[in-house]
Amino acid sequence: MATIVRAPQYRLPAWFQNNRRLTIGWGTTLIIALLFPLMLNPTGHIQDITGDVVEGEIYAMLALGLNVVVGFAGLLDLGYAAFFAIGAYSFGMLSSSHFLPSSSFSSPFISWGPNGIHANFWFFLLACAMLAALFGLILGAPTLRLRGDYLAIVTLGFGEIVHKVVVNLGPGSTINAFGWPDITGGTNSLDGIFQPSFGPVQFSTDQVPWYYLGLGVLAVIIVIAYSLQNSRLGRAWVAMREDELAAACMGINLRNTKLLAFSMGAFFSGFAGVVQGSRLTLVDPSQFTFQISISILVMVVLGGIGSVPGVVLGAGIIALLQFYLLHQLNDWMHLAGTTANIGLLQHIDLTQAQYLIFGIMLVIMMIFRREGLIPSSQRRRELRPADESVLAEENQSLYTVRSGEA
Amino acid sequence: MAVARERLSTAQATVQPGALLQTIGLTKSFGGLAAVQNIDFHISPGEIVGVIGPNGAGKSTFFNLITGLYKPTRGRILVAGQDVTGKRPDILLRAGVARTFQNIRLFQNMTVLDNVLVGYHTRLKSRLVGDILKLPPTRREEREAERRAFEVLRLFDDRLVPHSYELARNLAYADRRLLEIARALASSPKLLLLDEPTVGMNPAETENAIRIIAKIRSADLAIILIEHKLNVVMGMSNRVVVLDYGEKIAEGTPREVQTNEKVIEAYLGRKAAAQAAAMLDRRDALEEAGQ
Repeated sequence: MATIVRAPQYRLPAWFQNNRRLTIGWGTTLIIALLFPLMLNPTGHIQDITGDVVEGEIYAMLALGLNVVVGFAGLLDLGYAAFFAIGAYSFGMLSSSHFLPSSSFSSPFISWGPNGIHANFWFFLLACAMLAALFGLILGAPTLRLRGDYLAIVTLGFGEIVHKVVVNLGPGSTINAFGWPDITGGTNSLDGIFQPSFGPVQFSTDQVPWYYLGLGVLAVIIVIAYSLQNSRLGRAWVAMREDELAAACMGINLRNTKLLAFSMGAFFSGFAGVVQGSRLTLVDPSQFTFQISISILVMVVLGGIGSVPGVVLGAGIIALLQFYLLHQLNDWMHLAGTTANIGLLQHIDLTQAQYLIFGIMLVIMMIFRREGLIPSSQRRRELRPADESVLAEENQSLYTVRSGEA
Repeated sequence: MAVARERLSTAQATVQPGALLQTIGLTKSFGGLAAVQNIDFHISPGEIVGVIGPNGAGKSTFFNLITGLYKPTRGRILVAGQDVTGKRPDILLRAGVARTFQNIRLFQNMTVLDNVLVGYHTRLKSRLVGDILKLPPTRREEREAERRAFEVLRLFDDRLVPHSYELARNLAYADRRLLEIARALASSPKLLLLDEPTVGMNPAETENAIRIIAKIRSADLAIILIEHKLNVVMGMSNRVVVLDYGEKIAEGTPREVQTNEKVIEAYLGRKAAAQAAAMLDRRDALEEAGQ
């Protein structure tokens, strides 16, 4: 009689089921995203809406960057807008009519003359992101020994420093008294930033090309985020977040690993900065305040700390709230106020209460769904097609199904 | 004065050739309290050395010193003849010293497999660019790492493999202890430090753990074992070192140590030690009479 040793039935790991869902999820999102501007055609508001969606894309880039620092590596960063500013300002200075050099120079990467400096957008998109990454290292270095609250305070300080520097390096500051030129434009903002072209497409006030550019950059960032998550470095980050001491004892160099987290986080926001600066043709210190850092953090927490799709969703929700729902809600309130003749409702301005609403949302999230909207419990298991075969193989070699000698 | 001179002389003890790990006059003081004092220790490849001593004797401090978590106040640590005194933990791991912790310190929210893969961290050559672009060498390396991780997990029979994709926090207590050993083993250490590997386990689990430790011992792997269960230490160790109040009070084969008066005194107190000594004398006398 044939003796059959049954291979034990292991429950299919949850990540595998998620993997399929995730592929379908991202695929659908991409298709909808690609067709999105076409769908807007009948509404007649294509420019307004697309413009707001591009803002949403930039939020998503920032949220994904902060997610590397806060979600993957577990380092609370409250001054994240600083890196956004560094990306935007570095590109703004290198590609605008802000500086008017007397000499001329020309090369494929950067040219300058009496009209201003022209940097190649596509090259400097990467270069400015790398500059932001460098500043990530600079911020990371003094915070290496800090944890938790203390780390948050230092990053908060860094965010404020960058903001103040940008304000003070403008015209009329004390620095100018020493013969310094106006470097950042200060509160007058740095304007006249040049916009790129791609083949026949000239990027300008038409928001649709910007939408697709943002989508492309966002896609690249999402892919990088996933790659990092499922890599040696990604594992090291999570290990460090879970238990720093044990991680060190398993051979992880804490210094380098932390610095890389800050640096990669800053890298992503550098992209966002360049795109935003060039799209608006101006950068202004008010775009990089502490409130922005907090908003980005809210996106990460709302969507699910450490979860790539969660964070993108979080950014989407905040953008929707900020650009659409609050205004809509305002209108309804006013309408209700007028109908019912209630003075308070007629004059209430919910857009002013944005941060109050963020706060309430955070409190609600912390009470009812701390893991975020799309939690990342199987966070590192999502896009690994190799696993299935390995598991099957391992099971086979361990519990070989013998059909008997008969 | 004489004591001080004697200590100075031991601090200059010679380097032992062939020792995998050697400590010379290793001392760690916290404020005025010397948690570990003047310890000369050595272990050769393939050896299992048990470290015992009453609570607070400095056993864990000794481990923390060897793994670089503490910087020694005085003394030297040599791994394979190289001075590694005061080096960081990750550098010591690269030198081949891996450890487990008395209070389990797994990466709770990572899967069992990933915990082991973190142990494999130092053997992976991929860096940032390879990680981001998922270059073919990185992919190959990751597959290889996974295979190797399963190999390590399989050493633990079917305690860990079926749970490979579950979070470490969801494992049973005894299996978590085993996973810590697996994680340490993944780094292919030359020296494995086990800090009370069977604490909190029931007799069956303890027996299983002992069997597994016996299985992983090899000619290339030296093990230092801190353990309170004396039957475990005595059964496995080639040599036993006894610490008390941070000082080494005895060293020798399990049998030698068991009958050492100082050791009994440390464990049971002076009065009990005297009784025990009397008992031992009586036993020896009986044995002689029996012959």
